[in-house]
Amino acid sequence: MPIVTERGFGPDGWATVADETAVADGGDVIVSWKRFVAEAATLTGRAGRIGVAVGPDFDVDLHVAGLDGVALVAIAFAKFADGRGFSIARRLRDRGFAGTIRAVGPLIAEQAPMAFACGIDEIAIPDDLAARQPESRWLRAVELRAAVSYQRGYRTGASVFDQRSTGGAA
Amino acid sequence: MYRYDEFDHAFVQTRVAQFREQVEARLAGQLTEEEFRPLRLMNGLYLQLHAYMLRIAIPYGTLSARQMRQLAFITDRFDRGSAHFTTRQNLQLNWPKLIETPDILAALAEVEMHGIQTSGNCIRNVTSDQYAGVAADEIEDPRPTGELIRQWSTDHPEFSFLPRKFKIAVTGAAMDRAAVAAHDIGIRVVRNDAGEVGYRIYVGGGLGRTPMLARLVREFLPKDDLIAYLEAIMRVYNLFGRRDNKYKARVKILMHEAGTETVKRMVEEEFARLPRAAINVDPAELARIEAYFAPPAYEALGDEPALLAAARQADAGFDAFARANVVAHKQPGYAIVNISLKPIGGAPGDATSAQMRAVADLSERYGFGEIRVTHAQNLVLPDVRQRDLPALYRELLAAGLGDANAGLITDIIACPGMDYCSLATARSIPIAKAIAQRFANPARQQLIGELGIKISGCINACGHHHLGGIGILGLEKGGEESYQITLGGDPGNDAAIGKLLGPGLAGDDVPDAIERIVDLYLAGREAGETFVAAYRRLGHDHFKGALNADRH
Ligand code: SF4
Repeated sequence: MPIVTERGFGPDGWATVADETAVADGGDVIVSWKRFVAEAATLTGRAGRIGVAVGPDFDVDLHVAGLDGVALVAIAFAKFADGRGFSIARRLRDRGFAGTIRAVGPLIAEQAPMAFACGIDEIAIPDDLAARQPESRWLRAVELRAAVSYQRGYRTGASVFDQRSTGGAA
Repeated sequence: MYRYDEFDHAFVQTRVAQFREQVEARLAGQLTEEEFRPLRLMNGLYLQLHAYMLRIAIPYGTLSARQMRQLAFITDRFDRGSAHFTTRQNLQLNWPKLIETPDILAALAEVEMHGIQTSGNCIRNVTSDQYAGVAADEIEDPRPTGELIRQWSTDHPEFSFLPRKFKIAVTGAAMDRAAVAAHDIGIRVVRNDAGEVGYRIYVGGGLGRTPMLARLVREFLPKDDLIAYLEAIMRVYNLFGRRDNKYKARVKILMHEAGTETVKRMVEEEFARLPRAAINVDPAELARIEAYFAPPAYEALGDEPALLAAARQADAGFDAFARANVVAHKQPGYAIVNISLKPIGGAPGDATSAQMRAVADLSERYGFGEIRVTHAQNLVLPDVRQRDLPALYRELLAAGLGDANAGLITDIIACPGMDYCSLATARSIPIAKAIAQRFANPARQQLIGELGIKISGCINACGHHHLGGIGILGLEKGGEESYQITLGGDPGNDAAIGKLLGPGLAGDDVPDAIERIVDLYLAGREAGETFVAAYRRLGHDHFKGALNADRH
């Protein structure tokens, strides 16, 4: 699974560990939210960093307090048309989560700048998608989007609304 | 009118370039049809029954003469010389070629237009009152708010993959001509007791399979908080709207299932938590937009009752036109003129490129070069001097645009139906034509008075049949078209969803049934009572016999 960031494709530095597999002591691992809740004490006491995988129905307001010690939240996108993950990321940022946010799933290149704007840092995409949509498409989508965006308060360049009132370039 | 600045231009031009690349990527196989679909939909490109269809946004229904001429050019160059105005203040081209659509979007961008977000599960083209800015009953012109929403919702990073499409309408008048109750979010500009202008916010209206009227969620929202409040609503919907069934995915179903109070609470909590100051737009920006909508340079004129009375006396055609198509203007000496796109026997909302050019010319000679597009699929010249009305009428007649039927029984709203739409279960346009022919006599139309007939070719209700005084829904039953009739729908201040009159009819029987409904109305009405008012007083059962007459 290549990891897409604003700089292009890169390798995955995190190991995603299935619930039934033991978690090794070192290294950065991603475990399910359910497992994390059950084993938080041991998992946060390990040597490596810990990430949690959440579903698209994850309730940020209910659980954000429990994210102490979590370095990465991986939000599952079941399909690209399901945009809940954008709001989950946005809420995580709004409510103060400062770690890495990863989107996991078959997003398309055009969604990458939207994801980044909502506070997502990286996108783990399936191999077949990466084969069809080369790195250049993703970088191009990010570049085009950077040109102009209206909304305020998102992680983009300066909003058009702000550029107007400051009378020019961001 | 709003004029694009460098940023708005840069945005649409980037978008055109991007779409050109996306079309190429699709043709090269980098994008599957499934992946391409949301991208083309976000630019207004549908795949229809016979061909692609491109839907062009006319935000809040305002067009300049220059834009109208460009639309005429596009209609000639890329389509077959006529285009279709829809119930959502859009224009549809029915025969564009995929490979040419980037060129069409480029031609639109030249005149500050686009097809962005006219389809797909995103925030759609914002609609408004066709008389905005000129209506006599207005608190404030709603179009600056519409333009602000257009910009804010454009390519929104968080709300472009919603459970379902999302429609916002805004009106600033005492009389709701924008059917705000039928929208996912309806906004009314209001003045509170302290004299401040703000917004009243409704959520959860929609037609389709399960028609519902929007419910009040915020009595008074200060203007400066609009964007943060809209984001709160959108976030709650994006997170909690159903995604398991497309017929249950609109925000109206969330309202219905969770309850208005619950949704209201969730929205208010989100609104309280989100970083309001970082999201809201500087009031100076709304003021900047408002300046574009400042009233044009009206002449100091007086009303012309004597001149108009004489002209009406002299010409029965003009008299009928003045009665049906001319509306009071806020400025003395001026009038608002509706141009009907409902000639008897024509397809509702269709205009030829020649007619589009004629309207553009007339808007400059009899106004300030501005045209409005209505949800009733007609056009409006908003600023006509009263003394010019007789001359304008003659010119409209010459252009084939002089039908004096605005708001009357032959001013039928109809979706494209089986003639174009891949989702249709029945024809709409031929039914509209047959009914209009039945009631073609102008004297009879005037006698009947204000009556809205609205026709949809399937359950999706693009023809807004639920809101028609008489609504007609075309379904398919055992391989045959079957038309259901509803009565008592009303898009206005006393918004109501029509009630089913009885079992479906064959298409050929529809005009007879409509005629019997009208006869029952005429027999039962009191002086000056419109169809909907009479329906409310007489009750649904008064009309029950209309479907059974054949069997007597
Ligand atoms: S109501 Fe149905 S038939 Fe008519 S335009 Fe909409 S989807 Fe098509």
